[in-house]
Amino acid sequence: MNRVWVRMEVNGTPVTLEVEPHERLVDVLRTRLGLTGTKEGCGQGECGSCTVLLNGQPVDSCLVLAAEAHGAHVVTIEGLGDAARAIQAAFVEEGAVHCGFCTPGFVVSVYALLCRSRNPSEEEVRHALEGNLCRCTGYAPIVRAVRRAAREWGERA
Amino acid sequence: MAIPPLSQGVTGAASPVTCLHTVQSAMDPEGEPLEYHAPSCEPEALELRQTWGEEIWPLAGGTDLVVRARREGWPRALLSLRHLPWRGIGVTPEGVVVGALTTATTLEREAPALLPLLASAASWHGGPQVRNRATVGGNIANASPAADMALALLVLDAQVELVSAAGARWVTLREFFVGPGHTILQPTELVRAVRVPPLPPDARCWFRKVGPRSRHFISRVAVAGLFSPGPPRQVRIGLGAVGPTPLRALETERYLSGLDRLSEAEVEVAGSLASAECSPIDDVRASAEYRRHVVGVLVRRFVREVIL
Repeated sequence: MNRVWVRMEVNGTPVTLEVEPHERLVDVLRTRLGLTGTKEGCGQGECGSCTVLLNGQPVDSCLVLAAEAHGAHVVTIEGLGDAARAIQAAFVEEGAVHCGFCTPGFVVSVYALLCRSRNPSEEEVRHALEGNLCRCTGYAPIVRAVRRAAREWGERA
Repeated sequence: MAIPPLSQGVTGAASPVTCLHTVQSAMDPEGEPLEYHAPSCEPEALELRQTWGEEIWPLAGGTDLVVRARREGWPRALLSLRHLPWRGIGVTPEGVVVGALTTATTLEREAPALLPLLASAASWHGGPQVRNRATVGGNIANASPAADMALALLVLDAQVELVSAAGARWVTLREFFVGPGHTILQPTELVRAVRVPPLPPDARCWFRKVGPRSRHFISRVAVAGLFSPGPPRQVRIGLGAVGPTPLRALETERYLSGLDRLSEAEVEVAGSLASAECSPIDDVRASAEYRRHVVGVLVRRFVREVIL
């Protein structure tokens, strides 16, 4: 392999690493940087557990080669900070966290949605969460949580 | 229908065994070194492609490539296209041109006015995470019979620009696809852009795909339709995931274009014609019988919603 130097910003911190070409962003985040909030559920871009923000857009980090993230701003669930509190609280209060494995991926996707759309309809919410799977909740509590979080964001803004 | 082996990762919720298998094969790729190249300009990219040919895989969004490589093995080299300026939508006298690296999200958001059918197909191209990375060029070059954006482009009579160190050529999408995963792209070429000839101003478009989730799935069946009352009256129908390549239902198109008025009887005939025109197979996602049936359902729905 030729190893590749990658410089990126992860949760606001500059990071420089040498990676192998086939190494994925999810591998770098979890194994090299110890940011295990991002999960690998399927490794095929089906479940969204590995969702992170890449230059502000939600992506499946299991499909992004680390080398492709050179120069990018990456934000993981750990990096959402205060902005995610309303979302996380709403998830807990609406019973949208059961095993919790999918939750970081959902919260990142929801954050991206609420940045774009302050008062999403149920249809918009479901469309935005299309790439995230939950095997526990049946989604109804998640949709309620998102709309609740949107209201609370709206009240704070 | 045979139960597929685990390694094919059928319905998305992968078993732990599948996960471990793919992680290990990537961490210990056997033998061959894997080189990664990210050329900063087009001439450099074309030179690499000229030199390496089939042994270098062009990498755009990676939403197909990374999955396939981890399952089936990595190539000798990767050619990252990320620095190339092949993005965006522009209007030319010959039609609307879309750069190969334009993502599905960009098409969904920015193309509705100019290319409604392509924007619609792009919005059905998986969930946001995939749409933010998947590119129209990658969708075409990957040449899956179930490709959604490619199906829309086929109905739009699109052309695709193939570029190499020796120059560039435009080919129709119809001639581009040869079989599942096979195209006329030469090992020295890259897909740079697609071009859609001007549409009739009264064109109405329709796109549906059928599968186990709302949008985030590889199509079991997809139908793309275009209708222009004209004159001249024009009907175009594309059928996805029901043949070795995305198909145009030419018999059905001729039938519908030739009618002045439609009643329910003609709608039924159109559905049957379309079902007969496709050649689906049984695979991990659906049976041939199911697909043939659903083609009829979707085509009748298109006719009722758009033409009737």
